[in-house]
Amino acid sequence: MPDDPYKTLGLTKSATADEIRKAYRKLVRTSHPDLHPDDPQAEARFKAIAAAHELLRDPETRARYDAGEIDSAGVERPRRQYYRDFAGASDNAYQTRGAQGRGGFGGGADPADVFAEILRNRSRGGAGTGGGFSAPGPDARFTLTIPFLEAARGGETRITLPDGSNLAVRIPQGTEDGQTLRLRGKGQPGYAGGPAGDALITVHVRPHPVFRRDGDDILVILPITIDEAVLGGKVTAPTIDGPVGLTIPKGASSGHTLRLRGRGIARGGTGSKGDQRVELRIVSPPGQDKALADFLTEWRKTQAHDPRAEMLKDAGT
Amino acid sequence: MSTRFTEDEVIAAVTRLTRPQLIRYIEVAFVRPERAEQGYLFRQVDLARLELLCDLSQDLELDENALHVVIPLLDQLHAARLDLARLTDTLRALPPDLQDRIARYTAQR
Repeated sequence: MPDDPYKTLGLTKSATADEIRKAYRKLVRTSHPDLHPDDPQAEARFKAIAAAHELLRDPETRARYDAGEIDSAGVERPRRQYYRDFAGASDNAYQTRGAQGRGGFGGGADPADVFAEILRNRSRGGAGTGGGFSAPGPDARFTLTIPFLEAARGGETRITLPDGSNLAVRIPQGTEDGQTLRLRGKGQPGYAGGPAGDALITVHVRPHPVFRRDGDDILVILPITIDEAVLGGKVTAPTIDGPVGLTIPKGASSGHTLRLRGRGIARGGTGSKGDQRVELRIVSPPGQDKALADFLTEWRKTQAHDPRAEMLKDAGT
Repeated sequence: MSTRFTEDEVIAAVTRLTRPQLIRYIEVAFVRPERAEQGYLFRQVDLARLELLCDLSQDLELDENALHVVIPLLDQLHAARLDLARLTDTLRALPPDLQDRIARYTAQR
């Protein structure tokens, strides 16, 4: 059974019409589902409040309720639909977003920014808790281009700010191209004692002539000679932490990829490390090698292996 | 969800709404019904929005100036909530080890 409508509105039977209206308005502000889309209980509360108000707003129905002629369920409104039930639909044309790229969580927003925003709001605990109004300062945005190896291995660099001062920036290990670093409290000063904003530094990583990156893995193309390919052997390969020895298996081909475990990019804090993937590429010796040519001329006479046979069949043309 | 309502049906369904008020809400684009040859066509979302507009203007006695503040903020709020929900879905669809890494990565900041 529904509750006493007076109790629902926080009133007694002696409440005036004006008190009823005021109490209702106050409760609507705190319980309207469309004004509190994240509150799952709002709808039930609002329904009770609206039903109570419906009953008591009209002096006639109120008098009948007071006299016991109708009970509080008598005037319950039919179930209605709330705007919030539709508002979340992705095709809802009423949604509006701020200009792209100007804060907000617009379509192009970096998810990392969203997280940072959420965490920052939480840690600051909202502005103005101390009574008077204060607000955090605006964020300052910079871009920074760093060499590939510095991004991969981490390091420290300095950027010069428009006002001539400079700022130390720690580059975390494994920083990716386009990543944004946040230096807390290094933005514009806050208002009225509010905390300073953050410096947001978008990092661009300059490509490297030898190393490429795929997630936490480093990709390298390693040239090998014909004899190394056929006979196998130990060669030296570059890695981001310096040259290491690598064993080429006998009978290697171009395109064959070897994995150097743990020679990729370490992610700060996670302890996990990517690999370096070494793609082999057979390179003929420079110039004309008469001895090799003579040998291969003889060798060819006894060879039946056609590496393209399968391919021509699969092509189906 | 493809049901459409005519202007008369809307006035009948949203009992508190008067015709001049409906016309005004359309004029200032608080609701944006589809236009058809025989008049406006309203969707479910428009009806729910009109209920909300009635709550705000009649129960809370917000005048049109105040509605121009509240409605755009609500629309932005819902856009942000949708983005957040999509982001959350995307994160949950990632492999667990990647989720761990994202959690640790955000904790560092």
